[in-house]
This record gives sequence, structure tokens and C-alpha cells, in this order.
Amino acid sequence: MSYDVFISFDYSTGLNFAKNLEEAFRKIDINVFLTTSENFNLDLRKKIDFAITESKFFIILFTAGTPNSKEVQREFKKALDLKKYIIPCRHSKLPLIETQKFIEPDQYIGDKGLLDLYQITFEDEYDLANKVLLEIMKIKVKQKERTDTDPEAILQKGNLYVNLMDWDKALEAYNTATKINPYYVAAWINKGNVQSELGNDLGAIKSYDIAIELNPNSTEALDNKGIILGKLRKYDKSLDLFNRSLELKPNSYRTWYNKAITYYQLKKPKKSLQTLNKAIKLKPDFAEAFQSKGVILGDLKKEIKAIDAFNKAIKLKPDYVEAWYNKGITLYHSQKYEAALESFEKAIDINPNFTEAWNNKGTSLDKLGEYQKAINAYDKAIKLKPDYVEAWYNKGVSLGKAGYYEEAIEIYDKVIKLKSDHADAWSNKSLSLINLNRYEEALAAAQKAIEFDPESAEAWNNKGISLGHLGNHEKALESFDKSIELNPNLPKSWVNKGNALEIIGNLEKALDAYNKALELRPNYSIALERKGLIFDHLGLYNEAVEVYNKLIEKYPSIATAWNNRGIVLSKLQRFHDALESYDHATKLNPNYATALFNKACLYALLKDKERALENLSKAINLDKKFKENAKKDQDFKNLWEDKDFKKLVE
Amino acid sequence: MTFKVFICYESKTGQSYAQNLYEALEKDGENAFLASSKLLTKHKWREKIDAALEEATYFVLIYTAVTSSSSEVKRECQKALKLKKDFITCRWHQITVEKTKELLNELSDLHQIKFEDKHDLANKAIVEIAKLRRAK
Repeated sequence: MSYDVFISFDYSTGLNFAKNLEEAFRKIDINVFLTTSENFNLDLRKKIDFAITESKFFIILFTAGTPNSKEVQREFKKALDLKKYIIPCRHSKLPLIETQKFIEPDQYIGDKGLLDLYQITFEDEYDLANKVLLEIMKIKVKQKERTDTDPEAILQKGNLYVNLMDWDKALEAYNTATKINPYYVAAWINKGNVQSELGNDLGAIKSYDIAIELNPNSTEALDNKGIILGKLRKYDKSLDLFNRSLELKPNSYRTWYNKAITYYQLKKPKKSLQTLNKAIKLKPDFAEAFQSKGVILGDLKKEIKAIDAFNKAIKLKPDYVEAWYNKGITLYHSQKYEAALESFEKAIDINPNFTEAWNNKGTSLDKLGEYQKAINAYDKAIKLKPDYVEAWYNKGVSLGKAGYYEEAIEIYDKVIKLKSDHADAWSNKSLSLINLNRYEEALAAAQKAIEFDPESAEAWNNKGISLGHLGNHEKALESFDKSIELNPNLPKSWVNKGNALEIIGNLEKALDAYNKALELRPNYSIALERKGLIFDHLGLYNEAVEVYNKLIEKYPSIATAWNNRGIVLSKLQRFHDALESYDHATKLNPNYATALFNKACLYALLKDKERALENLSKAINLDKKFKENAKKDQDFKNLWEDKDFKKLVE
Repeated sequence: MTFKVFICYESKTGQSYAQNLYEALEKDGENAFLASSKLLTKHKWREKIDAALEEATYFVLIYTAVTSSSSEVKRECQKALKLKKDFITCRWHQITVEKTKELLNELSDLHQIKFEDKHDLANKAIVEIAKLRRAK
């Protein structure tokens, strides 16, 4: 319970006065603390001291016994120390001199002793109550009047509203303060701060300008104006202001920090770092400076140093959510996805409504192949911010990677609804449509992506794939070339180019394209496989075997690689090795009809009728086309007249 | 006994002023009524108050610090106004006319006496009663 009034009195001579006074206060809902016992034990003293601290007014009743009361003296001393509003009340029969006895020489308020304070004299308890209550009412009115007209009091009121984040009321208070006293620098500065909070940056600048005009040495006004100008991207001007401020106050670490941020915005990261170091030198426990240092070092790709800076910020301020988040971003860019995930999770622990942290938790999980968990994280971000385009987009990406193409398309459509020119969403929609063999739609989506971002290599690549599937290989080739022109480091564009060239019949150029893809990604399976096939077509069987060997060494479970290797080995008359290769292929995929047919061919060549027919039978069972193939294939020449063979292929 | 003067006051801040006025009036030969809640049950006390108020000619309101928060004082004042008693408002000198409106709006339109202490109040109230009597 908090008290408005504390009544200090001598128990034996003042109780009646005090009690009536308390009852009168109660009538007008003023909370009064009144000691109800004479037994001043430790517990009661504690309560008394607490009540004095809480009270606004301290009423001391001088009755006959008061001058000798040690307890009243103690309470009075405490009230003086706490600078309480003291109202001394003296019984009319008690001579004024008696209050003097009570005063110790050091018990003065300012340069005035208690005797010099205005005293209420009273005749009886009712007179006392009447006078004291009116006195307090009068003081309260005065205080209110003061709050209504004193610019300093109004400024305080404004500050209170700032603490409550009631910006409109705070602004109203500062407006009043500056109206009453147009020379009140602090009020102009605070007005500027609130205007800035309310998004009125130009208004804020005006207020700061007035403050600076009134006091050109106000570093606060210079600094705050500098920050706003930075917000408005007028970095050079804000830099000037910070420099002026630093001339006046060279040790202001905050100004050094603001200056560093401005350098960063001016894309001068090295200068920014130097300036941040100055701020840190002035204030070695400046967590924000370490955090910003981390961000800049991250941008400069100095990831280890960046992480070190983030860790320092976190050590100084363990719940520094931005530091955890930006540490996560740096780790993500360093491809340390598990550690990044941990940082994002920590940021989320601190602020469960941190949408960007949820989104990046999703991207980290995506990179770790945890698509469903990534989708859950994106869903959380979307729940917090339903129009969060990037989270929607990333959800589409994870769905696509998980093979849910239809669902991914739905999500990309949602992204496009939120942001119709989201080129990546159009491009990825195109890719999902390709995966669903909906090439016309895929082509249209790729075209849209290119319309919004003509420099999207991915979109050109998807356009090429769509065109290829629609039979327009020349145009497809043009698209792949465009994709490569925009980003020569995209292996898949080279592979697709190679494919298109193969179809057109330009095997040598196709080989070049595959080699380029393999330069970028040495173990790129599709490129290796296609390269092997081209060598085969060109009769370069040994080279083909070499490529297939590399491919199966890296990816032993690709059945087609084993089969194609078998074909080439067979052409090199390495029948035993060829058979072994086919066996691998059919072991990996027992329903691999082509491999079974190839095996049958080889057995036919080796004149092993039984095994030849056994494998041919299996191939035919899986695909009837092998009946006709067998009738035409020269490898079966020796069996064409065989009745069992005939029976099988008829 | 017929009461000529009814003294209305708030108990915690106005009692001693009222008591002194009562004693002064008695000395002056006026029959005055001063409610004392200590002697009667609430029901009887009200009855007695209302009866005294009805028969009194002069109604003296002593306005002190917390008078405006007393519902009993308000009730008595409203009754006196309704019965068209000679209404004498005595307000302690530090209380403004405006403040008396907190009890009843009508009070600010009536003549008011300002007093410094209980003696001043007794003196001024008795003089005012005499003045009103002469005017009748």
C-alpha cells in the first residue's frame, strides 16, 4: 500500500489529534500512515520507515510531549533526509520556543531550520484537521498549477509519456513546454525525438534546428539531427553534424558510434570499423558497437572476426537479440548451417515474435535438408506476419525441394499475389511446372520472371528447359547461352546447353559444355554421364570408360551409369567386364529392361543361348518393344532361326 | 424545546467551531441545535435532526476542509433550502466561494461569511442572525 500522508506525533499527548486527522483524511480518500502502537520494535520501525519513504507529505504534530519524543525526532530526521514535504503543526498552547528545543543544529531544510518553516497552529483536533487538510489541498492545487504552467514540469510530464510510449501525448506536452518557453532547448530536442518516433522526420529536423540555434553547443541536438539525416540518406550532412558534436565532446562514444554507422551507410566499411574501434576504446563494454562491428566484418567476409565481435556483444549482453540474429546470418553465409540454426533459435528464445529469425531458421533448416522443419519455421514467421513475402517464397522453395511441386506452385502464386513482380517466385514456379511436365505454363512463368528480372540466369535457364521440352531446341540453346552470359558459374546451364547441342547434333560443342560444367562442379553426375555417352558416340570408348569409372566411383548407385559402361566395355570386347557392369545395373534396378536386353545381347554374342534367352525374356516381360529390337539387333543374328528365340519374340 | 438556529457542520474538521458557536448562541439566549451523533442511534439521530431543522428559522452551515465530502451535510443543506430557511453559510477563510460549489451549486449564489477562527465565526454568525431578524 502506498501512502500520501505520514503523521508523526507523540503517542501520549498527540494521539487524539492524530486520529481525528487520519479520519478526516480518510473522508477524502487520502491514504494516511498512523502509528497505532507505542511499542517501537524493529518490525514497526521498518514499516514506519517504508511509510515515510512512500508518503508525499510528512505532518509533524507538536503537542506537549513531542519535544522529548526520540521517535518523532527520528522520523522527522528521515523525512528531512528524504526531502519530504513537511507540514509542522503546533498546538496553540505550546510556545513556539518548544519546537526549537526539538531541532538539532544540523536539522535544517536548505538554510532554514524547522522554526522558519510555515507552521500551522491549532486549537483542537477539529481545527487541526480543517487547517491541515486545507493546506494539503492548497499544495496539491499549486503543484497542479505548476504542472500546468511550468515548462520544466510539463517536460517531465512529456518524458513520462515517452516512457509509456504514448507519443501523441508526449508531443502535446513538449509542444506546450516550447510554447510557454520558446527558448527551452531540452523541450525542443525532446519534441524532435518524439516527432521522429511518429515518422515526422522533417518536423524533427526543424525542432533540432531550433535547439541548435538556441544552443549551438548542444551535442544532443547535433547528434539527434545527424541520426535523422542519416535516416533520410543524407549521410554527408549527418557526418558533418557528428564531427561538430565530436569537436565539442571528443569523448562521446555514442557520437563516435553514430559516425561509424554513417560511414557504413556510405559504404565505407573500413572507416566505419576504425571509428567503431574508437567508440569501443572509449567504452570497452559497448555491446552495440561490437554488434555493429560484427555486421561490418561479416559484410567484408571476415567471418571469423565477425563471429568474434558478435560473441563479445553477446558476452556483454546475453539477451542481445540482434547480435544473436546477425551472428546467425554470418554463420549462414559461412555455410555453417547448424551453428547458424542455433543462433537463430537463441534469437527466437529471446524474442519469440522475431519474424526474420523464424524465416532464417527456416533457410538454415532447408540447407540442412530438413525441409519439413524449415516449412514449419516459415509457417511460424507467416503467422506472425501474414504478408511476409520472403517467408512465403522460402516455403515454396522448401516445398519444391521436398518434391511437393503442386503445393510449391500454390505458394509461389501466393507470393506473386503479394508481390506480382517477384521474379524469383515466377522462376521457381516455372521450375516446379517443369517438374510436373507442364512445359507451356513453365515457359510462360519463365517469361514473366525474365520480364521482371531480365538478368535472372535461373529464369533464362528455366525458359531454355521449357523450350527444349516443347521441341524448340534452337531457341532453348539461345536461352541457355543467355543464362550462361548472365552467370557463367551455373553448372546446370552448361549441362542444359550441352543437352541442347547434343540434340541438335553438335557433339563436340556439347562435350565442351559438359566439360565446362565439370570444371565448375567436378563430380556433376549428369555432366559425367552425358560426357560418357558422347565419347561412346564418337567411338572414344576408352575415354568413355574412364568417365564412367569416375562416375560410378562417386555415385555407385546410378544404374544407368553401370549399363552405359557395360555397352562401351562390350564395344571394347571386354565382355567379362561388360557383363559385370550390366549385373551391377540390374542388381541396382531389377526392372531395368534396357540393361537386361543389353545383357541378353552380350550372351548372344558369347553364344550362351540359355542366358541370352533368359535375359531377353525378362526384358520383353518388362517392355514388349524388345521383341522387335531383338529381331533386328545383329547381336542376336545367330539365334534368329532358333525356335526358342522365335517363340520368345513372336 | 423549539430550536431557532440549526448548526450544520462536518464532524472531523468543523466540530470545535460548531461547538463554540453553539455555546455563544446559548449564552446569547438563542436556542440552537447542534447534532451529536455520539448520543443516539443513527435512526433516532436522523429523526431528531430533521425535526430540529424543520422548526429552526436560521440554518448556519459551517464550511470547513472536508465539508464537501459529507453526504449528511449535503442532505441537511438540501432540506434547509427546500424549507426556505434563512441560510447562513460560514466558510473558513482559506476556502474559496468556488470550493463551496463542490457541496451544492446553489451555495455560491447565497451570501457567505468568511471566518478566521472559532471566535470570529461565533461573532460573525450571531451578528448575521441579528441582522436577519431585524430585516424581518
